[in-house]
Amino acid sequence: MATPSSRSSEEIFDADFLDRLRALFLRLRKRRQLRKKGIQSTPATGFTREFKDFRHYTPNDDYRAIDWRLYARLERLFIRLYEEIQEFHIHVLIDTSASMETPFDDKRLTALKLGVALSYLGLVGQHRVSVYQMGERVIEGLPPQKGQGNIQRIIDYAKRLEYGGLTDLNRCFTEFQPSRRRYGIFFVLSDLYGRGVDEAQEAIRHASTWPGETHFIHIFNPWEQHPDLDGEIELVDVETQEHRRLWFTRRDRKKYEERFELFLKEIEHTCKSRQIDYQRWRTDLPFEELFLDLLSRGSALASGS
Amino acid sequence: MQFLNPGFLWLSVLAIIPIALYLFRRKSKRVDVSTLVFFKTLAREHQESAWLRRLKKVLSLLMTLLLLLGAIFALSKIILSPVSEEGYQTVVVLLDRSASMAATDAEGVSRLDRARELLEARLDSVPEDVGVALIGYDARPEVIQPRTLKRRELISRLDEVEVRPVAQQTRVALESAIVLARLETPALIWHVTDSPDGELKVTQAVPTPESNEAPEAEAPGAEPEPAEESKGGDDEDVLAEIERSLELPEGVDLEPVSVALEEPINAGITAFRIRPVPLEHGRFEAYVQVALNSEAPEPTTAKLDVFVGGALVQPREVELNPGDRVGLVLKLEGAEDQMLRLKLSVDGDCLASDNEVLEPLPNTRPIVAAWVRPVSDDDPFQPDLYTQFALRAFLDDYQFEILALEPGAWDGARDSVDVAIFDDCLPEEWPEDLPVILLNPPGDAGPIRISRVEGGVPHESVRVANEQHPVLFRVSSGRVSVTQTSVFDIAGSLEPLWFAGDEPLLAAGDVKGQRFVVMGFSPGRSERLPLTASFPLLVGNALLWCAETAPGITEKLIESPTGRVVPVEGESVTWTRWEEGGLKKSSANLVGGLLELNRIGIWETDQGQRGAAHLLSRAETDLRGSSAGLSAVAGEVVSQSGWLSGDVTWLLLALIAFVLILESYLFHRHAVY
Repeated sequence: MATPSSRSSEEIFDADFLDRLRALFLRLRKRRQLRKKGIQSTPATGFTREFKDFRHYTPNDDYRAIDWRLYARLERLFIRLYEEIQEFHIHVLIDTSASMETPFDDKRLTALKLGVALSYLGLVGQHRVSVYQMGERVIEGLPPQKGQGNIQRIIDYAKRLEYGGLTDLNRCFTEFQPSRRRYGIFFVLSDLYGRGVDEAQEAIRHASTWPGETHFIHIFNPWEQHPDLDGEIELVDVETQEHRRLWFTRRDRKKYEERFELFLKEIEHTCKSRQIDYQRWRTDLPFEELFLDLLSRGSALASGS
Repeated sequence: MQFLNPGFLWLSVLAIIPIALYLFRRKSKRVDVSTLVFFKTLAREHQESAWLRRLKKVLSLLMTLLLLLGAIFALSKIILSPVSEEGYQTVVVLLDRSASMAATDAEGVSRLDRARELLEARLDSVPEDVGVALIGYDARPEVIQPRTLKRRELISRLDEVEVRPVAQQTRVALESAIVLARLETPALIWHVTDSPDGELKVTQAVPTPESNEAPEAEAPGAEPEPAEESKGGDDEDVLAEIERSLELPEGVDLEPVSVALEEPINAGITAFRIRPVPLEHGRFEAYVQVALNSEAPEPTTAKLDVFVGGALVQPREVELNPGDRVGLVLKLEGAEDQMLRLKLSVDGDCLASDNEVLEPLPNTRPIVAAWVRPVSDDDPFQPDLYTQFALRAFLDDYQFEILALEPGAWDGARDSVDVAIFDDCLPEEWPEDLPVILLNPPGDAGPIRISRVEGGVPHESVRVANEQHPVLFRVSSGRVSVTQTSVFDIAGSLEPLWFAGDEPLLAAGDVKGQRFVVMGFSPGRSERLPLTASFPLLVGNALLWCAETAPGITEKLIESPTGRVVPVEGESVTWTRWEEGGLKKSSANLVGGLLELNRIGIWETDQGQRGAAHLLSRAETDLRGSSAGLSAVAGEVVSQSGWLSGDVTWLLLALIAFVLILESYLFHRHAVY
């Protein structure tokens, strides 16, 4: 298991990645602008007004918006334009169990990238962002961050995350119950492998009580969906260290794939029935496309601000 | 432990494959996975401890090797040594295949077929580790199959054995069997024969082909001789002598196996000879001896049919008592190359090969005689016309060519004549290689001292010295009167036939291998001789008697009993035999200038040599019945062996099947496919 110190920030969050994030953000904002005009109030609580710009006063404007100081200086009438922003609490839960790192490290990388991207999006949108690590339990290793400038802190935190241990989805989702004051958007970045095949389904039911919009991003490696195995093999569970000896054949592979697909579908069905957004995230697919797809699935994160 | 097919043992190198697969087997791949939950849903899993896993692999390897070894041993036909030390190591089957083994029972089963059945049944009880050899014998033994453990091969060779119409020579065969048995003792000899108790038979002496005397020749026209007793005292002494002298060495036992019929009836031709009739050129006499076996239940009437040229010329019947041997003389006439066939038949006869004789009538060519006589116009007795008339008298009856020559022409003709008649003259050079008839000789003739009697001395009668001489055959000597013209000294050389007083007038005999007939009288001057029938007879008899020794007149057929080997010339031989109502021919190549007479019939080489072979065996014809109480059923097991000995192929196959099933169950019941 790679330790945080052995990873370079360059491999996950290099400058190129951040540039791409920014570009992504701009694309997203442009998309939002095309869809609606002007400041829109939202029914969500906790919004603020922020000065945006000056404009010449027209007779139809509200006189209370006139900036008198500017008039004193310039002897012309200008009104102050404000932007009303809805403030969410973005919760990003990153699975840091052993299965996310071993044997496929790209799951870890994907989860971290996604977590940082979502955090950045939240920070840029003036939302509060909390990042948690999830394994046997949910740990809030970083206090909520706000402001774009705090992205580095989140990056540093992400770099320091230690992977390992078991996954106890039930406990995690049961214990993690934020209050309504922290209403917001929940992103769970995990492979959702519990101790049993049906544990994820059970656990997801607990997630439905979270205050806000919940997204489950199911991260898995294509090998986990289509294992390339043949002959006599000794399987070792990286979390439990349990061993299994099998003579793996094509027939077994087919059965496995069917079972895995069923697993995905059951989770999807469970999420759908709980109004939880579910997205499969295969690590071999392009990150940007999946990310945009995630945000375009009606997320408040994508449409607000 | 032995292997019948050791060539398969090389397959043992295949054991390298499972060993290599074991040593270089792919270790199970260790794969780290994020979770086992999906793999646990699969049906098969192996939850074993490492040591059990290793043990299973070793066990699988051992079972595979055991399987391979079992298959190789089964293919190689492993034979385990007997558990018990007792028993024979070798069985030598001495199988009689002589003519008498063709005797059939009421169901038509021959003795040889019966012997085969018995042997196959007996061989089933012989353990696989006991070697078996097969010797077939008739006149000579032949090792048909050397000692072998391959039973199937032996039985195949046994099936190929055929009866040969040859008389057996048991002693030589037994000696050969003993030699073979001694190679690996303890050994047992199964003597399978139709002789009761496997006793030795004594075959009769074989007559030489050059002899013109039939073994029991009868005078022409004689009645058949009375039956003889079979197996006289001399034969028994010889038999006992042979049995005493044949000792079995240590470690070799002899077990007779008799396949004799219980009450056989067999009549057969036990002797045959054909010869020209003396003094009857172109006519033949055949001597035939027929016999009935001594154990025939009752007297019987045998029918002997004589065929010449396919036509029945003489049907004869002969009354035979058990053990009788009866000789018959048959007078035959026929043309050149006509076949003489004799067929003997008796009700209930069980052996056919001694019932027939087939032989061509000997070819004869005309006797060429030179009548050398002086011709003179002054002397009315030159040539003697009475002599000419006498020669002409039998010219048509017999095959003669008479060359009338003057003395001057004699030298030119001497090489082409068979007999020379010097009438009142003598050659300048005496022909020592020709038979000679001297008529009225004027002087010494070769070794005979002769003096002319001038004027001649008439004699009213002659005294006959030997009426039985062939020259005087049918001559009425008491009625002749001759005029003696010569006196000759025949002391110690010729036999006087006529005397006049004390002087021989007619003499005949051999002098240093040359036949002479000397007539010391002049036919022309004799009163009662030339005008009687006796003179032509006298001249004719003299000619025939002299021509007997002339070479090439009568074909000399090589007559031999079957079983002999005769030297011949040529590259191929054609056999002619009587079969299915007609003559059948078959050819074979000659090897080494020898011809084995192993079949009945007439043979002829491509060089023109001819001969005939017949069984003619008293011993083979005298079929004996089996003794009461002698069992011909399968013999006892030769050696005692435990169940884990001998051929264990069945055990190996069972082991292979068991190991296959066990291995499949232990290691492959979760097999994937």
